[in-house]
Amino acid sequence: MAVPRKSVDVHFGSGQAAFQLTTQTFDDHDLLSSLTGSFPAGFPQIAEITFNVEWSGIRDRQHVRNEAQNFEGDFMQTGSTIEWSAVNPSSGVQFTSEPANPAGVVGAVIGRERNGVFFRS
Amino acid sequence: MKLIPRSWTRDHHGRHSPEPQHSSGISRRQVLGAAAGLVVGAGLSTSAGAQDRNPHIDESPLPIPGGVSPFGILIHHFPVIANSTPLSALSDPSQITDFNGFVGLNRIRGTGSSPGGPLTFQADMGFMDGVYVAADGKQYQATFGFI
Repeated sequence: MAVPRKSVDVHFGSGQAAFQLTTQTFDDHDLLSSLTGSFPAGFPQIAEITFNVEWSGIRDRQHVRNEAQNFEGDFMQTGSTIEWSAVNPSSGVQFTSEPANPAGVVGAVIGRERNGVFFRS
Repeated sequence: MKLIPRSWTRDHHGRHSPEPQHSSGISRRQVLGAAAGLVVGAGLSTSAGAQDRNPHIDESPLPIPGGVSPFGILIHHFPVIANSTPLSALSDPSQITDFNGFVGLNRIRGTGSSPGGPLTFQADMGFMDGVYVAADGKQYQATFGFI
């Protein structure tokens, strides 16, 4: 989805980026409903989410060129955190995540890449 | 835009419970990253809106050709590799093709609170900020979120 430019802030040289947004979205009830587009009665419902995602702390950096997937670029593996909350006024469901927890990251990458026609050019 | 309500799925008693299992036996955690791709896929198909007014203008970005296929449904998204995996094994972190710019992608697990009690979540989040060639063949600059 297109988001406001100001919602993303990248400081590539220092391996830092942030993505912050508050927006309305759909509560599809569950993952399978989202995948299939077949929803339980009453869904999807409107929900509002707020999140702050950050990437920082360079762990590795490398130029990657992948001809099978038609992309290349300079990439960094970093740490990453998220804080988010959501509320569904229709159902009353609310959720607030724990504070940003660096231990929760499984994987995180930021990069400057080109793919498709820009990869071939 | 669609948010995958990662920890909002109700059990058969109507309560909200964390990390339930699908009837297929595949846990939500195993497929959450792939599902997020659908989010973007859906967003791409409805973004830009300008095409509703002028048939010669369609700023919609095009999805990458590949992706993963949970439940046999192609999702134009590759989940980020674990930080323990070498960067050389990286698949395209962008969900749109014909793109030149900055990308970010992650996978984070955590906990949180709701009125019904503590819940766990897994989030795959990302962004693409740069120029791209849209469905109308023209070049645009924009920022996209992967939620």
